[in-house]
Amino acid sequence: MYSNLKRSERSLPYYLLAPAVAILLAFTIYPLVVSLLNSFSSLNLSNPSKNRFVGVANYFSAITDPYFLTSVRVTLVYTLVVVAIEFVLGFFLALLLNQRYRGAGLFRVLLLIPVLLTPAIVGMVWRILYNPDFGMINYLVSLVGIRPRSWLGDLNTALPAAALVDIWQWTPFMMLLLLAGLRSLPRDPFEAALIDGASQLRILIQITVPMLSSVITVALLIRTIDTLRIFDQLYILTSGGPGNSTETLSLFVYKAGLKQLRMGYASAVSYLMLIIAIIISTQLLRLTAKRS
Amino acid sequence: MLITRYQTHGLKSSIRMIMWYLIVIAITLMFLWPVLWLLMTSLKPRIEAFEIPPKLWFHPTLENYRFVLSDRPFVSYIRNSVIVTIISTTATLIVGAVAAYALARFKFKGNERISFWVLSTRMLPPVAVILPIYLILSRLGLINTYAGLVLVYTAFNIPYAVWLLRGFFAEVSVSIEEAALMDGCSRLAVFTKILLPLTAPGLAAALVFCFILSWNEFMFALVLTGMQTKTLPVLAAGFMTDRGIRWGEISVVGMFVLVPAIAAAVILQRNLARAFTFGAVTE
Repeated sequence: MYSNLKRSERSLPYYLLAPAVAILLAFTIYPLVVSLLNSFSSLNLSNPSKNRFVGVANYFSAITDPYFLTSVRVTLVYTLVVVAIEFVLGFFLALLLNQRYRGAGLFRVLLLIPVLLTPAIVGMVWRILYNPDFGMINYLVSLVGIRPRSWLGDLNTALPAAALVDIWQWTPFMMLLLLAGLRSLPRDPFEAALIDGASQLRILIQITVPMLSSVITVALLIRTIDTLRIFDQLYILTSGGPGNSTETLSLFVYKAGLKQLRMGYASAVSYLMLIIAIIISTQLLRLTAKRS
Repeated sequence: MLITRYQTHGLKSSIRMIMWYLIVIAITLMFLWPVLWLLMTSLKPRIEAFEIPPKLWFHPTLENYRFVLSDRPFVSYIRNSVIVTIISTTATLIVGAVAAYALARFKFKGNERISFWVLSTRMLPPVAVILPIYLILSRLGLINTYAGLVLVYTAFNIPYAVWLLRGFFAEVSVSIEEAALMDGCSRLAVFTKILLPLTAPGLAAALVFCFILSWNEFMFALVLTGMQTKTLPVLAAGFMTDRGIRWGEISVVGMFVLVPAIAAAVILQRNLARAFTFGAVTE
């Protein structure tokens, strides 16, 4: 509900917004402009004086750079797999916890704990758990007869092992949102369907999922945006290795810009990443808008 | 499973209830065992940390905690983390609350547009601006200072604070404020003496959420800090390479960082979905 402004107060809202808008402009829009300009230059911090305009050369090198293309593939595969698994498991957990048994609330709070844990520390803990010599994971899998190995050091297992950490941390987030959605649903359609003798699975697919579509969109959108930019855990778990089998776009930009100091090139890559992120999130929004 | 069942009597429903508890307990353990492992390792004597199978019963010792807390650099990292987090959270809340008040209370040209622009900054991957921010801050001499990190954290958390508080403010009826204004109260008095106390739970939720976002942040801290201003997550990254396998001490550091995060999860509960989704999903 709005409050009326006196004539003398006409510009009051703008004054109130000024600090927030100023700091956002300074730390989002202005850096994006600087980055765009840098992406058309040969800026290299190891030799900043030799900085000249190179047009779209950086963008061209990026799309022909096999390391960049690998990084795009790793990021997309990682995001798709991780978000899909988190969604399915999170939905299952939400349905499970949407029961009026005593203590359901307590379990919900306990399950939420991973969501707010510091990703860098999560990476550190799991790196110790994955330790090939003394780690708990090798002990646990040996109980079911799988032979120990260096999960994070092996080309074939590094990405799935890192994905497992993500799934561990963020499945409860999906549960949180979907459970909130389930709680807000009216009871009537479900009771009507039960009286009509519809099966549980049919109710799930034909009533629950469509009625939750807006919550599902929000949950998928947030997780997709955040997974596309993943950095913290991976930096500590694998630093993109072995080889570059776990090198996501954020790690790629970080290394190119701040390790190899190729600022111009890294800025171009970060713009390509921004474009990929925008395309994917708008597609996701459009897809669900069409359905509902 | 789709419809909330009320507790009924009978053998069948008892079995179902027991099954439910067993499954839920098993799942909860699956999600919490790494945290429990960390807690146990931090309390274990040094030699027992590596034992396989891990000893579940042992004499807990504070030896690791004592060692870490007597470590001068470690204590300074805690201080850095606390200073940066508290200042940035305070700044975010003040700037965010004032902006949220404008967006929630007044009809003016551009209201909707500004709200969505603020929200859209959430779409921006931090890595897309980290290089220019590094260049800008180094030109201003703000690399390896608290101020640099505080400014960045404030900027990145403002969208959350604005949208959360805008929602909480909008829920409060405007009539109380109008009455106070009629009585001759100033806008400032109405805001600080009426609206803020009425939305205290919302402010608390925004505070805890922004606190954790800053507390957990890693990438900017890694790039923008130096020896004197490193925060705890950056220290953790250094551990993996410098200190090899001193798990006891590493796990103590882990506990120090994770305990506030765990506390925040417990405090936020019902507001957590709302905080993460800018008010799109509420309970």
